[in-house]
Amino acid sequence: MIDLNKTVEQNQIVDSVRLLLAANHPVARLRQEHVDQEDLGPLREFGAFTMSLPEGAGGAGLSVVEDCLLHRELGRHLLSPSAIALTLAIRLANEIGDTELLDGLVAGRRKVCLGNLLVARPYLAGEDGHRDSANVHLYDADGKGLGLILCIDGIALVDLPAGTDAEVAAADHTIRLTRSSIGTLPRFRNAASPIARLAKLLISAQLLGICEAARDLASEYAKVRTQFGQPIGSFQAIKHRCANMAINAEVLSAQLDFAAIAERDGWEDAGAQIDAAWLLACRYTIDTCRSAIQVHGGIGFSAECDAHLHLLRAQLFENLGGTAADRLQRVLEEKFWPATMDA
Amino acid sequence: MQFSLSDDDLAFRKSAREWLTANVPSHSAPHSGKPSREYAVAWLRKRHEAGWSGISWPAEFGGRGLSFERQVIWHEEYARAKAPSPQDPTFVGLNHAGPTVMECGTSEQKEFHLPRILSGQSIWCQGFSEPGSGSDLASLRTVGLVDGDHLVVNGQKIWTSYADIADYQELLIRTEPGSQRHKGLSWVICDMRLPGITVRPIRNMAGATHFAEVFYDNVRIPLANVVGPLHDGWRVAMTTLTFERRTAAMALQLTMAEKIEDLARHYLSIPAGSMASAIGRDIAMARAEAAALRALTYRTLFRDPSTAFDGSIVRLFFAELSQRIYGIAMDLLGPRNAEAIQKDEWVYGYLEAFSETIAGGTSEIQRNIIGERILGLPRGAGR
Repeated sequence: MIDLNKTVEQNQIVDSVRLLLAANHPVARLRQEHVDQEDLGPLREFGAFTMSLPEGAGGAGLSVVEDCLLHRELGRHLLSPSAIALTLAIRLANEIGDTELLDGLVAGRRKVCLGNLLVARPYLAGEDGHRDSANVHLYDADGKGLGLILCIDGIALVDLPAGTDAEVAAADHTIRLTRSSIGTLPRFRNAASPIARLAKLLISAQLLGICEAARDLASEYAKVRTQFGQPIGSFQAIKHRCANMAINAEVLSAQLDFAAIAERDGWEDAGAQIDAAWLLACRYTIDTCRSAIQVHGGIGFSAECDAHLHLLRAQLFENLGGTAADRLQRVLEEKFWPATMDA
Repeated sequence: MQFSLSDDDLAFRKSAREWLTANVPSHSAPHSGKPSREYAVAWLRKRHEAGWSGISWPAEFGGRGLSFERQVIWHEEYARAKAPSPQDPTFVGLNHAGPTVMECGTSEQKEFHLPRILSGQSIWCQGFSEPGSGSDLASLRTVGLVDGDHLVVNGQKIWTSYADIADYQELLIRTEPGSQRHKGLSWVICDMRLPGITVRPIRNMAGATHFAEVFYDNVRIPLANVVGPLHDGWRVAMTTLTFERRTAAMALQLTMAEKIEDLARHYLSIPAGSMASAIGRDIAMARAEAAALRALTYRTLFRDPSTAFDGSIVRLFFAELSQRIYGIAMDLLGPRNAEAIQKDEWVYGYLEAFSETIAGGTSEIQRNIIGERILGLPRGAGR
C-alpha cells in the first residue's frame, strides 16, 4: 500500500510541537543583541529527542520519519543546533549501550552541543594528530559536556576538555561559536552508519523548515507591502520569486519524505536518496533565503527583519558534515539507483 | 506514510516487464505525418491486444482500471524499457478526449468513441489555442452558431498537435453569441473530415511538423456532438486538464530519471569525467532533482488531493528539469551537437523540450497559479 499522507499520530506530533515551539521558542527571541542559551527542557519533556528510541530504552519507538517531521518544525523556529546534537547523542549512547550516558542525556544532566570538523582529514576514527590546532567549531557549547562532531567521514561523540575552547565572533549572532581542539574521534560512526545518515536527514529536515519559513515570510510580506498602489505580490516579478520558493519547498519536502521512508524501511538505495535530499536541502534553502531578503527590499537588508536570520542559519547548516563540493561529488558517484519503487 | 507493494503488485511488475521487454519496438518513432501515426497506432494496437491499453481507464470503458500503484509500476517499467514516448498521436485521445467523454459524454458518444480510442482506430487532436488566445484561453473567438440541429463553426485554431493525421478533434468554441470569457463556450467533437476544414501543418524549431493551424469555414457539426451541456464547455475542458495533471504525465516524469542516468553513466565512463568540470556538477544536481521529481510524482498521486494544488508545481518542475537535462546532453556532445539528429536523438529532444515550458500553460502562467492559489498572493491588474 502506498499512502504519503501523514498518519493521525504524525499529525498530532506536528500539531503539539508547533504549539510548544510557538509558546517557548518564537523566532522573536533571536532579535535581541544577546541571545540566551537555548533551553531545550520543554522539548525534552515532550519527548522530542527520544521519539525514535526503542520503547525498551525509554523512547517512543517511532522512526526517522517522525524525527524528520519534528526537526522540520524545529528548523522553522531556528532552534539551537544542540537539538540535532541531543537527538543523535541519545541514539548513539543507546547504540553503544552506555546507559549512564543515555540516562544523563535524556534527563538533561549531560549537555551536548553540535560540532563541525574544519579539516576533513586525517581525523579518522582513533587517529591522533594535530592536537594543538583548533580544529572544530562548536555551536552553543557551554564550556563543558559533550560534542557531537560531524565530518564527511562520519560522526563522533566527544567529551569536550573543559576550558580549551575559545569564543570567536559568529556571522550568525544567535549562535555562540567557539573553536576547540580535538585529537581523536571517540565513539565514531562512519558515514554509512544509520546515525550518520540520521544526521544528514535531521540537517535536511531543519533546512526544509527554514526554507518554508523564509517562503512564508516573503509571501506574507508581498501581500501587505504596497507600492505603485498595489500589493507587491501582484507583480509577476515578485510573485514568480515567491512561486520559486514554493517549488523549492515542495520538491525538497517530497524528496525528504521519500528518503526518510526509504531509510526507515531499509531500502537498498536509501543512502542515495538521503544524499539527494541533503544536496537539495542545502541548495534550495540558501536560494530561498536569499530570495526572501530580496522580496523584503530595504527592510530585508536590515537586522530588524527576520529574513537574514534564516539565511545565516542556512549558511551554517550548509557546511555541517560536508561542503557543497562533497555533496555534489557523492551524488555524482552514487551507485545508480534503480528508478523503481520496490527495487 | 507507507510505501510498500504487495506480492501481487510485484507479480504485476514482473509480467509488465516481461511483456515490455519482448514487445517494445526496436526502431524509434518517426516525428511527423502519416509515418508517425502508423507507428503510434501499431504500438497501441499491440498493447491493446495484450491488455495494456488504457491502464488508467475504468474497466467499464474497456480499460484495465488499475490502481495508482499499478499505474506507477507500469510507467516505471515503460520508462525502464525505453518504450516510445507517450507524447505521440494517441496521447490526446487516451489522456484528454477519452477521459472527458467518459466523464461528461452521452452513452452514444461513449459507445462510439471510447473503444476506437483504446484500440488506436481513431486518433484525436486538441482544438483549444487560437492565434489571439494562448495563455489567455478564455478569450477564444472561434464561434459555433446553432442552426437547426447543427452548429455552424467559423474561425481558427493553432498549435494543434497531429491535426493533419487526426480523425477527431476536441474543439472548444464560443456557442453563445455575445458571451464573454469562460461563459458561453462548448466542448464539441469535431470530425476532421468535415467539409470546410483546412489544416496547414506548421514546421517547429526541431524540424518536425506535428502541429498545425486549423481553419473552419462554415463547418457543420451535429449538436449531438456537444459533450456536456451546451455553453458549459469551460467546465468540461477543466475536467480534461485535471485528468492530465493526475496521471498522464507520469510516464514522462519517470522517464527523466532514466535519461539523466544515461548521461551520468556516459559521463563517468569518460576518463576526464569528474567533479572538476562544471558538467559533473550539473549532472549531480540533475540526478538529485530527477530523484526528487520521482518523489514528487508519487506524492502527487498518493496524497489526499484536497491537501494541496501541487499539480502546477510538479508540471513546472518537470518541464524545467527536462530542459536542464537535455542542456547537459548538449554540453556533453560538444561540437557534435551541430549534427541535427544523433542516433540517440538528444539534439532533437533538446529542441523539442522547449515546448515543455510553453504547451498546456506556460511556466509564467504556472508560476502565477502557484503564487495565487498556493501562496494566496493577489492577482495582478487585468487578470
